[in-house]
Amino acid sequence: MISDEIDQARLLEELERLEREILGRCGKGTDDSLSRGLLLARVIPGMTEDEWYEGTGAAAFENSWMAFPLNGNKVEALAKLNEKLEKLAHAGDRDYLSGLYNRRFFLRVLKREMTKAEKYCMPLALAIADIDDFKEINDTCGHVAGDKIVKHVADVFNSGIRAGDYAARIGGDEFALILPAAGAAESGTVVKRFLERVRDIDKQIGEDCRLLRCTLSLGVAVYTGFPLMTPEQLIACADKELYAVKRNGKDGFRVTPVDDADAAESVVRNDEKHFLARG
Amino acid sequence: MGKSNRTFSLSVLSGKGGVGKTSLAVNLAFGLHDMNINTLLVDCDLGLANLDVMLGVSPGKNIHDVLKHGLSLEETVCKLEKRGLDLIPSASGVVGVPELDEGRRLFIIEKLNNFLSDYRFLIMDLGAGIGPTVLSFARMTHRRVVVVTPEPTSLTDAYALIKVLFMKHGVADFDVLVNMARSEEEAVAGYERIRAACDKFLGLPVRYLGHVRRDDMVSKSVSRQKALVRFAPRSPAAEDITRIVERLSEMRANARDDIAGVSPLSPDGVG
Ligand SMILES: Nc1ncnc2c1ncn2[C@@H]1O[C@H](COP(=O)(O)OP(=O)(O)O)[C@@H](O)[C@H]1O
Ligand SMILES: [Mg+2]
Repeated sequence: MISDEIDQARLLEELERLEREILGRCGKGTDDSLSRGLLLARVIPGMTEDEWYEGTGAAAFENSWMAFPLNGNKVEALAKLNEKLEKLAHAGDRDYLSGLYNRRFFLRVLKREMTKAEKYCMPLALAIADIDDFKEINDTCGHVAGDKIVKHVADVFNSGIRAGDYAARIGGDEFALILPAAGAAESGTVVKRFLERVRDIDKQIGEDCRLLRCTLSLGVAVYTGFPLMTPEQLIACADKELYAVKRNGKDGFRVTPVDDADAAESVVRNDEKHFLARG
Repeated sequence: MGKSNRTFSLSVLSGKGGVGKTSLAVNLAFGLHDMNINTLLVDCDLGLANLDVMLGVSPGKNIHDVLKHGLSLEETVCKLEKRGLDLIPSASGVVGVPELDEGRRLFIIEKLNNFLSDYRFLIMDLGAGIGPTVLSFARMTHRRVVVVTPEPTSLTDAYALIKVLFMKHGVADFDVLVNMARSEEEAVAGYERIRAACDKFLGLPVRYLGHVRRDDMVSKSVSRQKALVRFAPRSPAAEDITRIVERLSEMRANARDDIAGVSPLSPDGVG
């Protein structure tokens, strides 16, 4: 939000300089055809430069374009730009392609929910899901088909997620669910339903590309605040289950309670242990 | 505001099992009673309770009946002496003991707070380790006595317990008691390791409550189901315990103003 008048003046100056530069680059600063031109710019939250150049951005051209009239009313345009930027800031918690929460938001919520589990001795289920054979689909059918599948899986999560639960896209074909207060049995029921719905997709995903199947592998770790863990450690627990599913033929899930073996071990770091032993 | 509180609450905890928590809790309670301080001992080791066994009482009802069936504490209390020394037992060998979740925790705090006004001292004997139930009980009381032995594993586990209570629950008040020491030097050296580690890694000062020497009379008194301070009051361990009882009594006197305005037990400790 730019409320400060001095900032506003400086910004206007900057915009005018930018406008001159753009018109200059077109080589026709005074040409009539550009007196009513429009400059379009776009911010894509959550997208990295690499992803953009890899081409996955192509699917995401919709409402987040920003318009700036060349030779138009700068103050009015600036106000509109501000409004749009604010909306986009809210969208900063979302993943641009899937509409699910993004990785950054996921980590923040996971940390918060783990603290709650620790404080109130409540269970917390974390599920990590991965689309089976996604690389193969991408390689044989192309990125557009790949994106279609990501969107399909995201839609399944988005439409089936319960109030109070969170679904996020945390990697190319990797998803996470945070289910506060869900124990092993409950989280099993929830993820099973998602697995079934994911299979149900139109197999013809491209003109000459037909899917054999669309399935997920999913690992769930149930945390009860003990032994204390970092979010990274809990994710590693769920990942371990996920890999076990992948090894066992994919298209399934495994649930594990977080182990309390070596509880003290996970609290005391090595440097602390050595210090205590040596005195 | 109601009457001002006069009950001083203490939990006895340790990172590792078998370091002497229960033996010490019993003897501290008897010692306090002998100083005419009305004391209630509560067995909070919900899974491995043994205060009843150690004292040779066979309780009718126990703390599980309170937690599960809403029995009143009055119905569970056992008299250890004619006046001024009581026990709320737990039950050993209860399988599938649920952890003390937030609901049960608040429930037991409320029950005990209403029950405690006649006692000047509350001692809670906890289970070992850093499980949710231990952390729940440990942060209810005014003070915490962390029992260690001079062994490295005991020190490491005690440090883990202090670290979790401090970092995750903001509990910053710990008195370390070194048990089964061969000498005072050995006890102080053991304490010094914990103190230095807490200072270096947590920036947390802890206090030295004292030591109790290793003494065969402790296990002999257990097999007779009597408190050591009664069974062998002149034994080295009994002498050490008596010194610690005096310190606890002082501690309570010094804290009188601090505890007057708060409950004996509170959901997130005091200070
Ligand atoms: N100072 C001591 N000297 C010798 N043996 C002790 C001493 N303190 C405790 N013990 C013995 O150690 C064992 C474990 O004690 P206990 O009080 O049950 O530990 P905890 O409650 O920490 O598990 C018992 O057999 C007890 O007799
Ligand atoms: Mg014990």
